[in-house]
Amino acid sequence: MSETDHKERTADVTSLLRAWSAGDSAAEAEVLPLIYDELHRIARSGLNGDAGSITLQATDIVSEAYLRLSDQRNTDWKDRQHFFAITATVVRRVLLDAARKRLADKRDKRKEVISLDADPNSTLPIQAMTQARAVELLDLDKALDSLSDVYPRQARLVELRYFSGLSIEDSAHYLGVSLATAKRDWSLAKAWLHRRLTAPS
Amino acid sequence: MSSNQIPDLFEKALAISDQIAREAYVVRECGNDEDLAQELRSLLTAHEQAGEFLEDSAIEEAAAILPSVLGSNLIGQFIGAWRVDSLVQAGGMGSVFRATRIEDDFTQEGALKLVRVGFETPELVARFSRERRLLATVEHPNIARLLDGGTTEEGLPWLAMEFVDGLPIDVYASTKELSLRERLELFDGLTEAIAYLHENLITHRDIKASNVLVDRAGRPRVLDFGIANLLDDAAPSQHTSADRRLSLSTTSPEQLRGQAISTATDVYSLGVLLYQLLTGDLPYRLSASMTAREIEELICERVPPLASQSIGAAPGVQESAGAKLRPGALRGDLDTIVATCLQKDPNRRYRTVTELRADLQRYREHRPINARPDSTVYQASKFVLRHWRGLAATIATILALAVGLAMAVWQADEARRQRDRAQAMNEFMQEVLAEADPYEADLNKTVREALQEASELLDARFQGQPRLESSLRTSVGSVQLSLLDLETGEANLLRARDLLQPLVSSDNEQLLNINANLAWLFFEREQYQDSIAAYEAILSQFNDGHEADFRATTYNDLGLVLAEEERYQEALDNYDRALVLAPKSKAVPATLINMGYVHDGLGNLEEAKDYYQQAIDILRSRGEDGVGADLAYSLNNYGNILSQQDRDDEALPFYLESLSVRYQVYGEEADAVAFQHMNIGRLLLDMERPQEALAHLDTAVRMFPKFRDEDSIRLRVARASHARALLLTTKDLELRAEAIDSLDNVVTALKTDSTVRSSRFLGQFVGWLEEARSQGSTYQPQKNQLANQKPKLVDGI
Repeated sequence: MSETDHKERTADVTSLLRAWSAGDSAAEAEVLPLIYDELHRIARSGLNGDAGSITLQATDIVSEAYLRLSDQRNTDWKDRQHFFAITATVVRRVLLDAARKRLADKRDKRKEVISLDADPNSTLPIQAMTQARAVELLDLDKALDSLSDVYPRQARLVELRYFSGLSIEDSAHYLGVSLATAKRDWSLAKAWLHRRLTAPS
Repeated sequence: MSSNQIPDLFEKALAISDQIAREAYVVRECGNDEDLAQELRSLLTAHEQAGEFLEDSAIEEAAAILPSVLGSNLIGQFIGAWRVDSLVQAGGMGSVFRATRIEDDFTQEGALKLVRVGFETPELVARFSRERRLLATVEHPNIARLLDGGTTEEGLPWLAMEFVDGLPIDVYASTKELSLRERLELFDGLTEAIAYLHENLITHRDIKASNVLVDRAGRPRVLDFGIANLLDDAAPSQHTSADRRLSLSTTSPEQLRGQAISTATDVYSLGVLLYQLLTGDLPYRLSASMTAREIEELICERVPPLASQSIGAAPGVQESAGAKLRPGALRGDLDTIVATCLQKDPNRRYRTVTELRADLQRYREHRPINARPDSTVYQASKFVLRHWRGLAATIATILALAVGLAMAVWQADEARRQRDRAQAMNEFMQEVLAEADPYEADLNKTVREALQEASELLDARFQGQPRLESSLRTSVGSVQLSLLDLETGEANLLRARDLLQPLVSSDNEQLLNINANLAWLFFEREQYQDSIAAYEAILSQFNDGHEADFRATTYNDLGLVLAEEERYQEALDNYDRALVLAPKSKAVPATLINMGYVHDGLGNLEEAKDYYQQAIDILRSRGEDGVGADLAYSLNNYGNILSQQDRDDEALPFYLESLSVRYQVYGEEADAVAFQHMNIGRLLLDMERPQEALAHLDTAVRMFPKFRDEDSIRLRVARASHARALLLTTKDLELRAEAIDSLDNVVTALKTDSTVRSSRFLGQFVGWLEEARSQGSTYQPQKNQLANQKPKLVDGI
């Protein structure tokens, strides 16, 4: 990508982020793919850049993505928070996708179990996610939706913290609540979700 | 009980660490509200148990799997025969790439449209499919041609269009400073294309400036039928209207309200575009801050300013329109023509684009136009709506038909067995849907939507007919399971069971069939113990009255669950029962392969071979019908055992036959085909026929990357084996260096991968690598002990 393209794109991201935070859902649809790409790129370089290097820390991933996408001189703290917020949406979607895919692979496995090449080469590709984890993520997604019906702010907090790695302090800022409230919300949301996910169905 | 109180009470109770004091607090605060007290206690208990739950962000996990979720960067990759060259436009939901089709004898430029990975909602996929289908029937010089289309490995539809190098029509008109006459001529070319579509019973539904490019020859070209969507006929909601991503300022009132779409809808959008071409402005200005309700009111109720007024309104606007047009030129007939297009009521617009075109023609020839200000066009002609069905029926219609047919089958042939009927219905539905969509690869997505709608239809339509509803729900639910819509499938199956249970005895076959589906559901959720228990409960009800095929299938499926739990002997026992019960069933080869697979894993090679042989014999006796994945698998598996027994010469013909079956079943380019090439190549390496091996491995490494990620074990093994074959056959120093690099890469990658499977290959590859390095840059084929070790199959996985 040329320098010019990059500048155009970053300016674009900042304005999109602002529009998005102002409630423009079309802006969200525009900015999501950019974030996807950037996370993807960073994740790849983080994973494959040097052999054996460990992955970036949670917050680093998002921060780096943000720095790359935004025009650094021209952004304020608020935009960064928005970025984390929208990233939470992306990450939630990525995980859900992977979970669904994982389960779909499982379905394929039935076919493969029925008639699987016995050659050692022929087994299923390495799975990045266990079946149990996939099911857990799908359950969590549903539970979060339900939580959002009763306690929308608390559900948003979970999204920010769990899916985007935002600290409790930053989350409190973003949601416009005191730190004490954020902590209380967190405890409640955790308890509520844990109960929901461990309840016998 | 009010949930408003809970956060506060919960926090305060949490602050009390002493359990007794805390309980006292709960009792005191909740008073008589026992529900509230219970809710609080339950949340407090959950809090104690939650521990580190959710404390570690999942983002690292997401980052780690992103590459596999998103697929690698598409630039440089192939989709079908198309090499993706550059990104043209990353829309919110889909992307357009510039791409080159590379065939043996020609190359071709195109615009490749792809649903964005991660955004493949059923709606979007359906929209893509529809666009592709519509475009396939269209041939007009002013419409960008469809060149190719298909579905990626992930099931995402793509299409390749003619690449139009041009500018959006409004930009073109203003940058070229076209005169009024030139603008109208340009617009005429557009209307000609839309009229052509209408003659072919296609509505475009998304005519706007950015979808009409003017190419270098000055010819308008219509693009993007994306919005022409099967689901558009459904009632709109806040969500769908946002999802449709209509550019609302060009949207007709009927589209906004989710009412019937007709040719008049395109007339409206053409009116908006004409307005834009004449004035440089849109008839309605929307702002991002407007609510959906405000937008609807503006578009559906307010009359926009006349074109001539708009052009005179703001001085700046005139410039953007090209600084050529004067309000006076638009006053009168052109105002009337545009306003007629923009009527709120479709019946008051031009009935057809041809009429619009004719009126503009009359205007250009200074003859009286037919339209009169807000009057004569209006004829309460319901003709258009009545006769306009669009190209494809909606899925709901198809389903109504399918359900109706199922009912007819039910009434006409009560004696038929439940399962047959369910089967017939499923097959029928799939057939109908397949006919509705010529691209069968999309079938799953379509069926998924269809099943959802079927479930909703069932809610209303079969009240008081519990048996029929139960039967239909079982059909729908079992297909949903196979599509892995586990939750909706489960809901339908549970409902089916609840409906039927009170009416029949516990050994009723339909009831057992429902339970068998539910047992499989446990398997899908990896709840093997539950699955086994559920199957055993079904088996305990079996008697000779039950259909043998059904019982056999149940035994087979239980066998699969047991094998998954590594209870191999019991798995084999169940497979045996399946074979004894239904020796003629279509599913027998699958069961035989399952048995061979278990024996293979247990190291009972002769038995395994015997089962594969039986499967092969049965499939071969079926002639054409037997040529399928089952045959390919059993041939490969059989060959593989021979090779394990160091009978490579005998193994080769099995592999080659499997390859030929795979070409027939999967086509020229397929993962399964690449796989067989790889196996053949590796076998030939063992047989010390590296030159022949190289040809197969060449194909494998060329084909695999289209289907496999770089970290796929298949691809890695293929690459390493390919490098080995190269090293054994070439003296070219550069090629040798590349091969060593490639081998080294695989070895490095496998070292970080601790799976049993990887370690099996690692030894062999390290041996190859050491051998190659010890030869340095000179070519001295020699073998060391390690390099010739052959990884053996040590388990079934």
